[in-house]
Amino acid sequence: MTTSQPRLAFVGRGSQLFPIILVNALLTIITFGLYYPWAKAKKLQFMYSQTTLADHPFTFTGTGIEMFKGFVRAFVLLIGIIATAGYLQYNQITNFGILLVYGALLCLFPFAIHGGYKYRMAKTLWKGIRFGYTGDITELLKIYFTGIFLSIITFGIYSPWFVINLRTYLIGNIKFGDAKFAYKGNGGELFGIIVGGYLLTIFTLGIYFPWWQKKLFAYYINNVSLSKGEKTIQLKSTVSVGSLFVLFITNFFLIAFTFGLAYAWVVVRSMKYVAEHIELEGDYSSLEELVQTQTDYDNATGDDMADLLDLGLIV
Amino acid sequence: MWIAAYLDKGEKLFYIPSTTGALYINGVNLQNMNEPIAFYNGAISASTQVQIELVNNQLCLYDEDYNDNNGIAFPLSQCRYVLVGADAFVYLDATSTRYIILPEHHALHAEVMTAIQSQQKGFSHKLLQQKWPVLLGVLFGLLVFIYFLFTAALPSIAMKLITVNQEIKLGKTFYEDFTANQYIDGSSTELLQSFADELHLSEQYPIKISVVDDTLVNAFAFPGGRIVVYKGIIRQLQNPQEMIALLAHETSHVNQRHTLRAILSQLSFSFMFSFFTNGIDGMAKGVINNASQLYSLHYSRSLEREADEKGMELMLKNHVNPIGMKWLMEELKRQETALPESIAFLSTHPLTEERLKNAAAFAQEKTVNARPLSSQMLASWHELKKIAEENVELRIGNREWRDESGELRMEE
Repeated sequence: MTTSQPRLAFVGRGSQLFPIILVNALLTIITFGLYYPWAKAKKLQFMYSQTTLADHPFTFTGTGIEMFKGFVRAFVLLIGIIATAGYLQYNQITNFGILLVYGALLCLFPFAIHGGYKYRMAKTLWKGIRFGYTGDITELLKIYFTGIFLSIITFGIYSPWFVINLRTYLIGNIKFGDAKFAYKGNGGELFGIIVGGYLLTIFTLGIYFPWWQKKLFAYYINNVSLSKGEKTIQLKSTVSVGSLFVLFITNFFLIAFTFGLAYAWVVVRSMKYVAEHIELEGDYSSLEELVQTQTDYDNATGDDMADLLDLGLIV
Repeated sequence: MWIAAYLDKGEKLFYIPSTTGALYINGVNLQNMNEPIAFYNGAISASTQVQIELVNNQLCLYDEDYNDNNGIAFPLSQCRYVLVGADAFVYLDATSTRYIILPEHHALHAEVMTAIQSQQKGFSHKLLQQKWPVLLGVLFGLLVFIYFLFTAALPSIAMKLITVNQEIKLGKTFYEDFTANQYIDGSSTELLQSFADELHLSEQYPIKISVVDDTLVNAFAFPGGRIVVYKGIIRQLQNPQEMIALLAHETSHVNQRHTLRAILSQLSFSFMFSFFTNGIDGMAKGVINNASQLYSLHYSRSLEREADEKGMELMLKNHVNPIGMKWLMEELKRQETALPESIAFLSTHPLTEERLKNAAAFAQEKTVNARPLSSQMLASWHELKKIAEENVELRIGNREWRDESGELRMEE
């Protein structure tokens, strides 16, 4: 069976997203915020369903009730830690207590990432085939605490290597049916891009900034691949500085001249831009031969904890 | 429920109890020949071809040969669809792993979508079917409602719940908070207090006055009877009637519980504002930040008008000519043009032409039974003025002012 090169696209329109945002806002207000998990589910379901690969939409199967339960659990956990801190301070158990509480808070981040990935991936489908995250929490904790320790004692110099280790582990454990993602980058290169971009941005009085952002995006995307057996698909960024600049400027004016009402259109334009500037190269016939291997996972605690900690799941 | 019968030559005949009463012979729908479509089975990412039929609120799938053993029925209540372009991706169960693609030109394209839509329940679905201008209107209406709830309804309820004694205590707390970093002039305070004690200002509230040693032209009231007068405003007032008008105006804010109302609506508003901008923890911060700025409260125009009117009534009750209110306004207006930045009083009590006119009309309409001020009051007033004028080098060129008898005078 011959197939044409599969394309990523975002086919949604602002006029579709706008009513969803309005209804979400309405219901969130009249329920004093309790509707938020359902609102989040509605928005994610729409965004996924309008993102297509080879003209087939992705599906987000997470539900409001799952995310509500997750939110309650995450909230209770966070409040529990804060209350413990308050209790220890009140009883003047300072040194050990503070250490304990900071330790617990620091642990929340890897747990949030781990749980968030498990939930998001299990709820992401394409052509009926689930994604999945098969990472191990003890491995992630090792990478995380080693990374933090080395970043601190090197005054941050180690952090690009830390980021690469995290990415490699997280992306390397994402499955798509029986296919497997991989990230292949190294800390030295990322360090070069970050330091070089930083210095050039300063020397050029900010003019270099869009080039720097383009490079960072490309370093992320271009190192991601998906393999099934011998067949490998490589992602490739086609972002150009000019088009990125035009997108930023037009989005800025759209928001400014409509007092924010054009937010839905700005989201859609940005999604379209990102989707249309990632290309798939290689032996993409594997996309036709994926087999369901990943199981469903309903616990959204990590996902909601990441929300509460204001933590993006993209490292 | 499938009924099968065999015809002579071994051909199979199905009758399916469908809404359309479709009749199949040898797997072919005689009334509606459906085009085969792609079915993804949730096990692999490749599709097989199926034919579909809507039967009894179920979506039935058959393989191309219409082999009766291979028919699968999916309840429509579990189905949902997504439009990509004009093609409908119909997910067949809650896991969304199994789906079919209904192309736009398919005979059942519209019918399946309508059937699924009619099964969808829930408030958000109903809302989503509205046009966006309607939704935007409803959202706007809701925000306006919440605005009024927080700025008018909630403060009114709170006003009813807070007793006079609680209000006095509350005012004392605010006052102590305020004076923590202000210098109170003891002797001026004593003089102005004895000046005010000669008047009957309030039935419910103990009126306690403090004079702040500051050149700012300002005066304001806390809830529960505490009134703060700045030395700067004493310096600008030219006769005791104007001071009585000022005290009567501020006392009226207290008597009418304007200060309490303003505090409550300001708190309530900042509460609402921070909730929308920062969520729960922002609300607490908003309340704390605003508590420290209570002395710059703004009253609405109607509250100012009421305070003027009630103030002039108080003046009448005390046998003082209410024309003093008009003089006070004129005096402050003159200062406004000369020293705009120091007249803080006017920024919190905006002086409009309307207020001036009302004050003049009030003074004209009422028959005034004015008595001369007691010698004690006059003595306090002169002493107060003397202290206020001390160390003052600031003089404003030629200007006119009224003396104690109300005569208009011109300063050299």
